[in-house]
Amino acid sequence: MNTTLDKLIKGVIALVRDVEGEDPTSMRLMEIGFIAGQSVARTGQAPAGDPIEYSVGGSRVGLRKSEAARIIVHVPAI
Amino acid sequence: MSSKLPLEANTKPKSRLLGVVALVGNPNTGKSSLFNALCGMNAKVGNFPGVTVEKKTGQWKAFDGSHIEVVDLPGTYSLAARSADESIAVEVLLGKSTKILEHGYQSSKDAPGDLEPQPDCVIVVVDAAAIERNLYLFSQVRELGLPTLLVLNMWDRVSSDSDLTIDVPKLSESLGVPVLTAVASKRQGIKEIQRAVEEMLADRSTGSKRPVSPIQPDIYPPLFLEETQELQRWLLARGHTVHRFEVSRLLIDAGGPIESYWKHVLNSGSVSEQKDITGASDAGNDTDGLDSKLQSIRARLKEADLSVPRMEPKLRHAWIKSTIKEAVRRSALPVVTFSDRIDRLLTHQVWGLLSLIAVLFFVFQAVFASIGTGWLSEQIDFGCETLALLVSSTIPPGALRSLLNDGVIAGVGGVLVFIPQIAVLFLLIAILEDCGYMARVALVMDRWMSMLGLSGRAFLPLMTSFGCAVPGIMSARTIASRRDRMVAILVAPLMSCSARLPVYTLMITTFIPTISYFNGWVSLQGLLFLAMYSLGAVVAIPIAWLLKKFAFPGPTSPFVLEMPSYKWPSWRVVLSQVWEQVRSFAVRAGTLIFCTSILLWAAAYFPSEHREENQLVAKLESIEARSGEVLRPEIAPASDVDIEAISMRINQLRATSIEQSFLGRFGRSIEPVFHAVGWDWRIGVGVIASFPAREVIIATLGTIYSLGGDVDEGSESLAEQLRASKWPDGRPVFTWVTALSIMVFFALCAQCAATLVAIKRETKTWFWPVFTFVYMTTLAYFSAMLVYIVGSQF
Repeated sequence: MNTTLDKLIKGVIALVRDVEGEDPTSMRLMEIGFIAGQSVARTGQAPAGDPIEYSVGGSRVGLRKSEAARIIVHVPAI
Repeated sequence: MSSKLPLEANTKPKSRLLGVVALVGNPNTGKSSLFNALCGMNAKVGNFPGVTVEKKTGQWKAFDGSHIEVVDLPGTYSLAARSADESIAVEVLLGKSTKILEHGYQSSKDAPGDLEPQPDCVIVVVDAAAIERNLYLFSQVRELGLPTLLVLNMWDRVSSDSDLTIDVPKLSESLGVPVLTAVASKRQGIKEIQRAVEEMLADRSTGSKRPVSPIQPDIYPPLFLEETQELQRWLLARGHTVHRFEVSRLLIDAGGPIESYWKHVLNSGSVSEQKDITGASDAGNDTDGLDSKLQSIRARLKEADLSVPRMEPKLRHAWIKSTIKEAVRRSALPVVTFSDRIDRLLTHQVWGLLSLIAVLFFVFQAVFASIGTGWLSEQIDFGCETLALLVSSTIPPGALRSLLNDGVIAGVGGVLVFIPQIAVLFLLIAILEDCGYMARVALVMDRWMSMLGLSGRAFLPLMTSFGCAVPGIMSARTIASRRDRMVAILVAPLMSCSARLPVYTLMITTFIPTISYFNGWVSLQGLLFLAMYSLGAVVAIPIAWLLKKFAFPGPTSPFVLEMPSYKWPSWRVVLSQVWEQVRSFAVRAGTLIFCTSILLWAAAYFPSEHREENQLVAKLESIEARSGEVLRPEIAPASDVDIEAISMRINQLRATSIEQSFLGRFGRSIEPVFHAVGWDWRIGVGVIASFPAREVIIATLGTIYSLGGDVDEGSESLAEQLRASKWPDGRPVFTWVTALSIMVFFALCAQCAATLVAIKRETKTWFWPVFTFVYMTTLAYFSAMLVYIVGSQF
């Protein structure tokens, strides 16, 4: 099932499918590891629920929901 | 920090320069630790010419007595030249001057524009635990064709980590460069890195037996390489020899600084000629040629499913994956690390906020505790007093003595006393930064900062501004979005910096009663301190909102922030940062405030008559000297009476002379302006004199109330003199309302030349510092007026 990263719930490991857009933000997301085939998981969030912290490629990255929504992920069927 | 600041005179060895090595790496890879470990603490910090990107250079001595120079490049994820930091890295690595940036970022006039030599080799520092992502930058650096060394830093985290294994020899083989491991914060592996660099440099100078990691064209597909060569030939036909790496960046980074630079070069026909941005409309053929050339190449690439810029990260990550698959093994499942567990607490809905508040509270406590009580403060005070006494005993009373004691020593000494607080604040900020907590602060605060139209990243610059707005404004460089950065820079001076502290301290301790509540746990004075400290930050909220709404409209900028793993801070990194901040403050005090002190002293000293005063002072001193030498108790009472009478006369003369001075005349002539906020001309004069640097106010008030109170009436403190001062009708000048009005004015006013200069440097125009000055001064004046009017009702 494909969805966007901001909708990923905790405890599920998803695979990155694509990052939408080619502006600097999308390029930065790709450079720091949000690239097709990379596994990604939600590891935490700010007290206000946004931004969200993700684990990708051995590092932790904080993204706002609006940025996470650019990233399309594949969630394996349970 | 201005590049004009006199840099510390380093004891530069006159030895032979073996070579220059550039240090590159992602942020949070321990690059600063490695730099410190390689070069020791004697780094030179300045700016890259023309831009406000910090440039750090250092050196180490090689085995044969020659030395190696290290240039620390800004931490960056990529060499795609999108930001100022990235452009600088590209430029230095290509060995160009700041020409790309001169065009793209409108350099300031004072840029010397000297040519930076290309480094002889490159050290790429990576966080071993996040090696995959870090190799992205490495994959770009290796295309430069320079001898490259890969350092896997924070190696202790990998060796203790069971889900990641790295086979170093295999990695070195598949990447084609030497690979070393290090724990820079513990100084492990540093000697080996130095030896490896020395060997690479020696090989280079002896005609190279080792291959100098040639460009391995296995990242880009053949079509892209052909197109790059085509573009390279096209540029060569126009007389420009361009490195293949730069050509590929020109092709990939559509609309970036390199593209606009080359358009400009081909348009003007010369690299060094003055740029004219508006001239782009009547661009010559070559510019059109470059435009259509790039467009056609990019179109052809797109047809082959290689559309720029998206193809680059895909190709690079694919290359990384295939290259390291033998050497690096990572368990497929993301594991919950120790750092994650700390994060759960520190970003928790309740505990996260509470711990942030606790941390901030601790920081403030520590800063307050260090006010004027620390050992260093006492030493500085003592040093100033000793110096003043020495001056008094060697120089006869007169203009020169007054200049030295009341202008120079009082002015600079009064500022140096604040060094302990600045050191404490930056010590704590540096620790929080280095241990990884600051990124969490940005994460936790982002939601609320975004309500102001700012990102969580603006929290650090603004918090730093509570120490001093100058480093705060400089640290706003880490905010990627220009609009966010501008707003952060423009509200940063509102944060209550440490130079406002002495004003709050003096006013509150002198005029606010020591009432406490809740069994002494909360005091009125403490509450007022807190209120004054918060005032600027609270006022900043609507100001930021207005700036965002009217001056910098647009959508909210993105938040993409790496959360580094928590670690113990490296004391070397922390201390070197504290040293930098303290030194830059001391240099500022030594130059700007020094000049202000002298000017102010002259304005308060001339053109009044000082003959009688000087004669009396000399008389007083001779009486004191006599009574000190000859201890005859029967004479002492008579001397005491004499001394008292003479002192009173001296004070009267001084009060008159300051009233008749240039400063006094000016203050009296615009007295109605001060009356509106409840001040007399003396306070007004003090405030005017402290516009270049607000910390001057204490020294000025001291000067105005008793020019040089160091003779004998030194026991009468400034606070007592303030309490005693009266309006002509006998009412006291200072009440709690006046004190409040002064504090509010100081809280909101832009009384700091250094801050305004920093804004100019960061925004490259005088418009924004002038804007900041006008809006803050207006705001401060009318707020003080409001306080006075409302306060007078009680």
